[in-house]
Amino acid sequence: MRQIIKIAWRNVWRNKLRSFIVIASMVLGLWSGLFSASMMFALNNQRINSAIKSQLSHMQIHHPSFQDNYDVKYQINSLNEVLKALDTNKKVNSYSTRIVLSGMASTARGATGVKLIGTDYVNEKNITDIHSSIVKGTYFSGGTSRQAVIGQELAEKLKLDIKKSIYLTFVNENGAQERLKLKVVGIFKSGNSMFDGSNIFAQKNYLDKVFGKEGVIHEIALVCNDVAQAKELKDELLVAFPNNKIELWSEISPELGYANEMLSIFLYIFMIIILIALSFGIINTMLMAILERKRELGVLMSVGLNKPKLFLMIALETLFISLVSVPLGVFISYMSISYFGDVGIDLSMVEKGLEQFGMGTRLYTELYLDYYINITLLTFLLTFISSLFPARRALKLEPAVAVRSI
Amino acid sequence: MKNIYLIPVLLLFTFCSLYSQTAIEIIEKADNKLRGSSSYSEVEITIVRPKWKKKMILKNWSIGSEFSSTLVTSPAKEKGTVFLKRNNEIWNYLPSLERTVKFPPSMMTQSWMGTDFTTDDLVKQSSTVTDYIHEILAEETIESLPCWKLELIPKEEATVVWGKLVIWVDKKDYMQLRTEFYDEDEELVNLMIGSNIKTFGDKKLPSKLEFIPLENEGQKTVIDYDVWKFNIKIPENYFKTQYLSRLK
Amino acid sequence: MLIKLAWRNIWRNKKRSLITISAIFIAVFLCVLLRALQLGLYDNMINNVVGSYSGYIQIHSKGFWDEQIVDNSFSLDKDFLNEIENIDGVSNTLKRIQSGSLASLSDLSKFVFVTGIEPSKESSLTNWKKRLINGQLLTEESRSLNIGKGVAKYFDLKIGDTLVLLGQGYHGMQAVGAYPVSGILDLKNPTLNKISVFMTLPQAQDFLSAQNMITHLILNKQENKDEDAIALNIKNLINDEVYEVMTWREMIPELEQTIKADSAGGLIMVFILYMIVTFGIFGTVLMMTQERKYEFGVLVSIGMKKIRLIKTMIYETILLASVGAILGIALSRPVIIFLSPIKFPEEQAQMFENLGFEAVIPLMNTYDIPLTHGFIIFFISLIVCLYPLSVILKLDPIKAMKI
Repeated sequence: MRQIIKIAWRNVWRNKLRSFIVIASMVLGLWSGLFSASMMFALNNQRINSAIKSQLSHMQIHHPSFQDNYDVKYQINSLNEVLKALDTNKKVNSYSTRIVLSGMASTARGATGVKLIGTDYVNEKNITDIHSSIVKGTYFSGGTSRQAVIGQELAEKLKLDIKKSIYLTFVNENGAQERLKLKVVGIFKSGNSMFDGSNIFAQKNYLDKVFGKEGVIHEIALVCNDVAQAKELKDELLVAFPNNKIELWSEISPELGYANEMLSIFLYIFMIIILIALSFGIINTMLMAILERKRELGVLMSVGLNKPKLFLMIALETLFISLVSVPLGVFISYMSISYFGDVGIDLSMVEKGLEQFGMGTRLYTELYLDYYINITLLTFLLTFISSLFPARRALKLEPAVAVRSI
Repeated sequence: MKNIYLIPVLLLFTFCSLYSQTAIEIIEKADNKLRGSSSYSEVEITIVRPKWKKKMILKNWSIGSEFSSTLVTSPAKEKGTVFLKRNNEIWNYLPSLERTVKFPPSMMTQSWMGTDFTTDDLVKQSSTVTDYIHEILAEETIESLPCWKLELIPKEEATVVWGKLVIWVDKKDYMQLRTEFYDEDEELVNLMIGSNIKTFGDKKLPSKLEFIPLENEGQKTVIDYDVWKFNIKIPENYFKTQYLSRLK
Repeated sequence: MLIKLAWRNIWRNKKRSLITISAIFIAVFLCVLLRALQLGLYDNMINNVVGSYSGYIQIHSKGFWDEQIVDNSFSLDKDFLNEIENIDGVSNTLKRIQSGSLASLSDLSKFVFVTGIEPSKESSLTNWKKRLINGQLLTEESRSLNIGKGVAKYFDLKIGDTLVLLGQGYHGMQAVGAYPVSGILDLKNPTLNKISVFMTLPQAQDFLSAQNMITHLILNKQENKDEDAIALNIKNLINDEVYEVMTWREMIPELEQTIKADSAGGLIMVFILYMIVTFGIFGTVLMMTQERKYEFGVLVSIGMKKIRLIKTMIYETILLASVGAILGIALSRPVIIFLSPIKFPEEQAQMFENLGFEAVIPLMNTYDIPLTHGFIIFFISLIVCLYPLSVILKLDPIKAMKI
């Protein structure tokens, strides 16, 4: 038995070019499959992160009826207790309390429906990155509290610019119309033009004045220390405050979750196709090799290599090749994915396209552990099966005929 | 002894300033003309567009600027429709459905009955007096009447969309004859022209108002006042939602 | 003569030829499969979004898209409609009229979009049955409304309740009406659910005082036809001072951007697959060459000029590659038809359906995919063949014949 193993091993290295080709194609196949998968996940993660950073945060809390029609009176229940809970919970990194009003914005040039978000901008900076996506003017600063920061899409729609005024109306708690005028100090571009066209940020302390009281809060957006903790945190908060609606980013924007799932499924299918291609490549190459080695095999059989041993030898040859390639492939993949995971791939060539999505131009590759494991196992399985075909073919050789072939 | 002339000159200047009008006074007087405690008017509104025209005949009762009832008497399809303004609320009586509907704030910025002004324009209480800072720019003649040309800049907190207004008020009767509406870039957006001056009771007013949005060619709304009475008695019912179906 | 030789060589060693052919066949087959999957996926995405909202192509009165008011409607004459429907690729058309309006019930009122539709034709665009959650769908004779579930919730409407609609009609006419609710819909999009009200086209035209006018003419395209080509045809046909034609790309640019971004990744995947199959073919050819070294040695030593041997080799490759490619092309079609559409596993399926998407990936079935990839692989095979050719060139017959 050990002899067969030795022979099989040596056979692999005897024909260096052949073995090299097969090993190279397997390593390449594995690497490209895993690496492109990590790139796709990176792209997707970027998209998700961008949305989380600019609009969704990890979690949002509202009064259960608030989002039906943005009625001013549906403020967060048990506000003080909620805030205390958030302050003391270790999972919470930071949070922002907001007034959210649905109303009409108009200028001399036109009017459109908008969401007016009153925030404490100092806190807000920890939650969203609007302050770093300002394309004209500045983010909030001290000074006139009548400041407003609007999206570029809205600025274009209403022909607004910094230093211009925007006139807003909304319905207050008594059902009467309130009007206010804000001054645009900054224009942002978040990458989501719909968001940019319908959201206006103002200062909460100014809106408090309009309401005539403080503590009117419609929305709390929070960021956890680690997005993985978000689900747990949500469950904890729901238990403590069942009278509020608490949603994860994936529930607020299900299309993003959809993209992830779709990608997963697609990548598995892709990987399977690649592995089939690889297997066929190996099988074909090895089959052809057997034809090439007819004489050699014939000799071996006539000096005593019986059928089972022959089968084993060929099978082992194929297996050895994959035993070399698979770890090598996985290792190279892991190294490159980790490397680019830290350093990021520079995508400035396609910057224009990505900018549409508000994504940065560096891709940080990453791949989940179970993906590695699944692909590796799948590869071993397929190569094992692939090894059987050439081996079976070898069995059909008749020693006497084989020896005489040239 | 040059100084001896100084005193009469100074005195002369003092007298002049006592008698000249400040910008804000002029505007106040022009504004007050249109207010008054109550009024009744019969109006014909023509909506002019490049491809079509529409005429409406309305009757309007108002008390100050808080209450007003407008009844449509023509065209036939809209006859009997009533718009009721009570302070900040707008109600609409629909004869074909025999129902009264309340206008939500989100519809306020929509055009009123197809005209060039919005429902909000009719409801808003932005006063040319209190919301602006006024300045006399010059003196010009319109419709062969000498007028003051005044510039109005909105105050910081005032909730108006305009960047500036330029209003011509005639010197004798304080009629607002021409108003130019500018946006914050100092581009002329809307124009209102008063003409056809008539005497209504004891007030002299332009009976024809043309409201022209300059953005689109060939578009304007013309309001012709056929009847305009002031300080008349109007029953309270006229401003109650339950009564609207009975307005004639 | 050489061709005959090449042909006989192929049949002489059936196993060898078969292995080579199968390497090429698998290459074509898998590449076609992958591409069909990707393109099918995008097509499905487009179908889902375009089908439920906009349709592939729309014709409006010029200027409507920028200013969506009922005054920018147009009247459709029969001849015009016939011309449009006769354009190659257009499967059928549907008319709609849409206008913003106020919906009111006692003290509550809210802004909605009133859309007049042709119920029987709408089913060719989207499956309305899937949207119905209560009551009944509109029919041509209905004098009632189908409303989004957000609207129903706001007014607390049940089937049979009456909703008042009030708005701006055509040419300044007031649009006023009160209608019973006959059906409540879930349009799978929270915004649409809160603002959609549907009635039949004639009823909407009456409501808006816009007899015979429409705002949207929506065109459905036949499967596998190109909407951009159709739109171009239409543009040439119509007076573009009066009408505008738009495809979904112009109406929903975000969708196109999403697909473009994904497509780049997709092409990388195809490229990777090509690399792998090329290796597969190369491995096979490599082994084949090594196996035949002896044969080459003999031929050259008995006097066959190397150039003739090379030519023979080339002919062999062409023949083998053709057979492999053709087989790949021919067999991929039935397999695609058989596999399509691929259904998602249960838990993911639920998520997609909630978004209003079908939980499947269909495989794209056009002819250009197999033909394109068949050709590419054919050429790759020819290039791979350079290896044996170089071996022949460098061949030392004596050495080759030593085993």
